[in-house]
Amino acid sequence: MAATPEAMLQLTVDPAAGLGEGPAAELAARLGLDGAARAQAVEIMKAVCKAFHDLDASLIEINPLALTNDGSLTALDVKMILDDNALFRHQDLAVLRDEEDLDPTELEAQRFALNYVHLDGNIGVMVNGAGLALATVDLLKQRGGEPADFMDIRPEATRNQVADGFRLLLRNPKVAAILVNIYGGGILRCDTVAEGVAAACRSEGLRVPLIVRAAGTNGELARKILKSQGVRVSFAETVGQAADMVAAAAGKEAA
Amino acid sequence: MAILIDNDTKVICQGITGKQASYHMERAIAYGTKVVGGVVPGKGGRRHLGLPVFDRVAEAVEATGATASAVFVPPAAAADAIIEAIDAELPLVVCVTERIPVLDMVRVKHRLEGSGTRLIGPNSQGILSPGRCKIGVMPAHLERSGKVGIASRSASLTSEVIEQISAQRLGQSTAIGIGGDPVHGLGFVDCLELFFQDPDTDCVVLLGEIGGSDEEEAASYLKANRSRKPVVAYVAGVHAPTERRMGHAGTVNVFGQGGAAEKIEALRAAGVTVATSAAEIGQTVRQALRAA
Repeated sequence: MAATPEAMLQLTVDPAAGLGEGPAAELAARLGLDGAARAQAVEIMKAVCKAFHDLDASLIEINPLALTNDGSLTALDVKMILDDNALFRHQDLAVLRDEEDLDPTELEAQRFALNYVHLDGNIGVMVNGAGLALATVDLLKQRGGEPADFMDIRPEATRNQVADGFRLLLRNPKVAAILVNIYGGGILRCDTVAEGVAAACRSEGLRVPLIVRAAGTNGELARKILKSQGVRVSFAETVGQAADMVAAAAGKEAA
Repeated sequence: MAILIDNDTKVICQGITGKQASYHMERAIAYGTKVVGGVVPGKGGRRHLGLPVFDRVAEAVEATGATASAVFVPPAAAADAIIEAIDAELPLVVCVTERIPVLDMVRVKHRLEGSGTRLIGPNSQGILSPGRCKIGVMPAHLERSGKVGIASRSASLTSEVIEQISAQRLGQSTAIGIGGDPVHGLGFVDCLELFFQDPDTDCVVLLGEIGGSDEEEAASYLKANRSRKPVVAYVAGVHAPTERRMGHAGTVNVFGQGGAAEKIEALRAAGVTVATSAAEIGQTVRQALRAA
C-alpha cells in the first residue's frame, strides 16, 4: 500500500450526520463491486461507522474483507481500538480488557497513577508531566546517559503512589543511578514527591546514586524533607546540571 | 499587554465547588484574576469562595458580565459544559479536565465552528499573563512580565521554560497551554496568529512533543509567512519509542507520523530556530531576539 498510495480510497464522514447512503454506494462502486455485493458493502460500511460512533472507537479495521465465489462479502478479520477515556460508558466492553498482554511493570505503574514505559538503559527516571519527562529522556541521551524508563507522575498522584512508583525504579536490577526531575506545579507539589521518594528508600533501601532536581512549588521543602529523612541524595539546580550529574554517576557505577 | 486575557477579563468557573477547582480558583483570585462567580447545576443560589454560584452559564454571564470560563467539570460531563459555555457566547473557555472521550471533543469542535468562542484545552494547564490574569492550574512561580509569547502542549515543560526565560532576564507576555489531547481547541497556528498581532510580543516559543500535527501545521503556516517575529521551538520525544503513548493522550507516534525528527525538520525548513536541548531553550530565545 505504501508503494501505491493512489490505490487507497478515502471517504470522510461527518460525525454529526453519519455515513450517507450515496457516498457509501459510490465508494462500493469504486471498489468494483456491483449488485448484491455492492448493497452488502454499503450495509457493512454504515454498520462500521455506527459501531465506531456507538462504541467510542478510535479504530475499526476489517482486513481482509473477502468477496467469496458466491458473490457475497465476509469479514475475515477485524481489529478495534477503543477510547480508554470512554470506557466508563461501555462497562460491557471494559471487562474484555486483557491485562496479560501488558508488560507487568507497566501495568503495576498504571495502578499508581503513573505513566511508565520500559526503556533499555541504566538510569532510572522519574519526572512529573509527559512533556518534561520526554524532554528529560532526550536530554539524558544527549548527555551520554541511557534512560531505563519513561516515568511520568500524573498530577493527582499521592505520596504513596509516588513511593510505589519509585520502588519500581529501586527494584530494577539494571538501574545504576536515578534521576528525579520535578517541576512542582499547580496540582503536584515537590514535597509530595519527596515524601514518596523518602518512604520508598526507607522500605526498599537505596543502593545507587540519586540525583534530585526539585523546582517550582515547594522545591525548597522537598530538599529539606529528603535531607531530614536521611536519604543519600545529590541536588541539582537546573535540568542540564541534573542530566550531567546522573549520566556521570551511572557511568561510574557501570564501570 | 497580553493575548486573549488581560486585567479586565472576568472569569467564572464551571464546577467551582470541586476540590481542585476550589484550590486553583483561590490561587487565581490571590494572583489578581477577576473571578466573578461559579456554575454548578443544582447549586445555584449558594456562595462558594465568597462568590455567587449559578445553575447555568447563561445566568452567570447575565449576572456577572463574565467574559471567560474555566471548566473543571469531570470528564463525563465536560463536553456538555464546554458546549453550554459556547451557547452562552463566552469569548474564551479554558478546559482543564483530562480524559474527555475523543468523540465528545469531536462534538465540541463541531459546535465551536462559526461560534465566537475560543477554546483552550482540554487537558490544558490554562493561560497566564504575568501580573495580569491566570486561568487554569499553571503555577505562579518564576514568571516575569515581558515580551515572549509561549504556546505549549505540556504543562511541566512550560514551567521549565518560563523559568529559563526569566533566568535570561526576559519575561513572558502570555503563556498558553493548548492541552495534551489529540482533539483540542486553539492550536499552534491560532496562537502564532494572535502573538504576531500583539504589539507587546516580540518572539514566540512553541513547545511541542511527539504525536498530532500541530507542529507540522505551524511549519506550513510559518513557511508562508516569512516576514514575521522570530519563532523558537522545542520538540520533546526525539528518543521516544514509536507506537507507544508517552503520558499525554496525544503523544503517540504511529505509522511513521508525528515523530519528533520530522516535526523538527519541518519547523527548521520554515525558518524556525529549534532548540536542540531542553536545557537551552531560554538561551535560544535570547539569541533569537538578538538576531532579530
